[in-house]
Amino acid sequence: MRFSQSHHMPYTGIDEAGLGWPISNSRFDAQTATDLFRTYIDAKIYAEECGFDEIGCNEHHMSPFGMMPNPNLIAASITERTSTAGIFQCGNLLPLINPLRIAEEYAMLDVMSGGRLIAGLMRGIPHEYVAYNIAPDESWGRMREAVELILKAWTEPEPFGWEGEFYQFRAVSIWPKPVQTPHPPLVMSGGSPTSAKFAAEHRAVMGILRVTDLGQARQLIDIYKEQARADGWEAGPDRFMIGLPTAVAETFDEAKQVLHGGTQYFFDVLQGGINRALQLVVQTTKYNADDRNIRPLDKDEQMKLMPVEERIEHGQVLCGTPDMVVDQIRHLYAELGHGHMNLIIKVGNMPDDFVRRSMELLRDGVFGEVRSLGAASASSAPEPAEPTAI
Amino acid sequence: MKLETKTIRLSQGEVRYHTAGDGPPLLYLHPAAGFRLSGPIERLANRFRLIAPIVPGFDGTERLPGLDTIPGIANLYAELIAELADGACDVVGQSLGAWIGAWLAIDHPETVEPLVLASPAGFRPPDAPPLSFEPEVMLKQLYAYPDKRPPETKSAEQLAGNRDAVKHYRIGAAWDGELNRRIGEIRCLTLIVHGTKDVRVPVEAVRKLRHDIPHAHLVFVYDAAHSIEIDQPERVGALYEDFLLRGEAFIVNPGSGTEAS
Repeated sequence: MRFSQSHHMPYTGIDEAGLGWPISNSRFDAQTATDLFRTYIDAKIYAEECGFDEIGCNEHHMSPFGMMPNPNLIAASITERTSTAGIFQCGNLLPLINPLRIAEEYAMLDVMSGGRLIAGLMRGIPHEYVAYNIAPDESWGRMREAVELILKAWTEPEPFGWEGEFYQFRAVSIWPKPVQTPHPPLVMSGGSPTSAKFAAEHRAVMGILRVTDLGQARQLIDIYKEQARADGWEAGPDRFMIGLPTAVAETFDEAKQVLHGGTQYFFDVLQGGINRALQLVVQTTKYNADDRNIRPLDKDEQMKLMPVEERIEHGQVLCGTPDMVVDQIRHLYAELGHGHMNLIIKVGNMPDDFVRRSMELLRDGVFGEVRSLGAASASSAPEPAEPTAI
Repeated sequence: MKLETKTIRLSQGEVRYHTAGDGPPLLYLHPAAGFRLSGPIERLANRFRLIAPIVPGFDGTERLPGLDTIPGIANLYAELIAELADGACDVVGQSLGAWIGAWLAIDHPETVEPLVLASPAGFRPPDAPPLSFEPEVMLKQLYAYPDKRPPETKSAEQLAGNRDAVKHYRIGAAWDGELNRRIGEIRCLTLIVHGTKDVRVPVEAVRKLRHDIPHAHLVFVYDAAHSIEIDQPERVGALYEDFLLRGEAFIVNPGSGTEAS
């Protein structure tokens, strides 16, 4: 089992619930943000010392939900202060950004880190499309084309041009190219049947980055495996990443209490504005037409109200003492057969000293107990295929 | 667009050609399916005087005695350019047409400027699996969007004649060793166009062309198979036009409202 650390870098200097979209930045305090950035980047760097295999960054826009509109800037900082951990970019959001810029910046990170980049190619969540004024109806079309273009930019040995539906470039030859060949490992979201199939077609690691229901997660993993078999290979545990909010403490009561408080803040304050934009996108566009790509809002409400014990039972969170979390990971592995976990170690406004202590407890009492899970059976064809159909 | 069909007598015999439009001459060389009107061809006819010769033996035309090689067709077309285009013109070839166009640019460099090699045949490595000519397989390999195919206008006899002509000129192997050895002799500005779903021309082949031809550009057309003019007519037509009218400057974004000139 491999572990990534995920930290959204939320702005926690506000307490008002139920704010609309976008949340006004008149509430922003510069000194608070500067202090938070120092604390958060230190926490990310500390993950390497705490035995995490990878350190994750992700992209979100125009919300205190996360202060990483360009996660590559944070990753560059992490790269310089770490030496062994993978640099896991859980986004960039392809439909929103110039794909060549993503190819270039990811290549830079791979070179700067000596080949430690894990390249997340994500579609994003609906409110991002409002933020960057991209038609949500174009989401999948842009996503599919951008993935092909980025792979070409990384792998094509001769300069080339591109005539696409959304992107046109006449002279492409990026410098630098990535260190890893044929290109850095890919991670794609598995939040829907369409996404799961798409990830399998690209032999990417599929991230179910926020589990709401074990049955649904199993179904998505099965869709991925079925597509892999149809393409002539077997997907092992190394192809599946499960993302969970995580709180570890010396006592269950403490972990539960901190997780509960952070969760309330997350849903009430950080996610409030986002939900309004999400509703507008889903109600007025075909963003979600192919399948249920996003969580229904009532599911969020259920998660917020659900006792922590039930959330553990549903596989939604890791919470408790190190021994309890070991048991929870074993249970999840028995249910899903995954080989990778993305631990969201800062939930809402969880105290930052708790976050660091939680990571230390994971290092000292959890990781060593579960490393062997899923490690013995790798996929039969882990490397991505040639990006074209040749 | 008004397409006229004419005949010209050359030293080896008569050659039929389609023509339309006014402007500088442009030679359009058809693929092994014969000549079919497409969106890009219509677009070119708005800017150029289109000359689209029919390879003798295709589309119901008679073969010419002693003419059974691709370089031989190129020689014939050099003579046609001398007669109809004052000795030099833009050349666009698709698939088989690109094969002929490449030989034209090598053996008669004074006749071609610039050159477009679209889905170029003749460069499929000999160790690649043999090309299938089964209709169902071909349908899948030729078109990403089979529904975009125009209605068939050729008679059963013409279609059978085209299949015979493919054998006559030994096009099926899709590999021309001599051409591959000499491809670096092309000196004119060249655009290579390849569909991202083209499995009949391997991507390695167009990479090699881009590498070997000194003044070449390679452009991938996203979401198009071998028949790029049918799968993505608007994008391919605009690309042809931009390259032919602006030359090497086609890599520069002209901005909205700036007409290519």
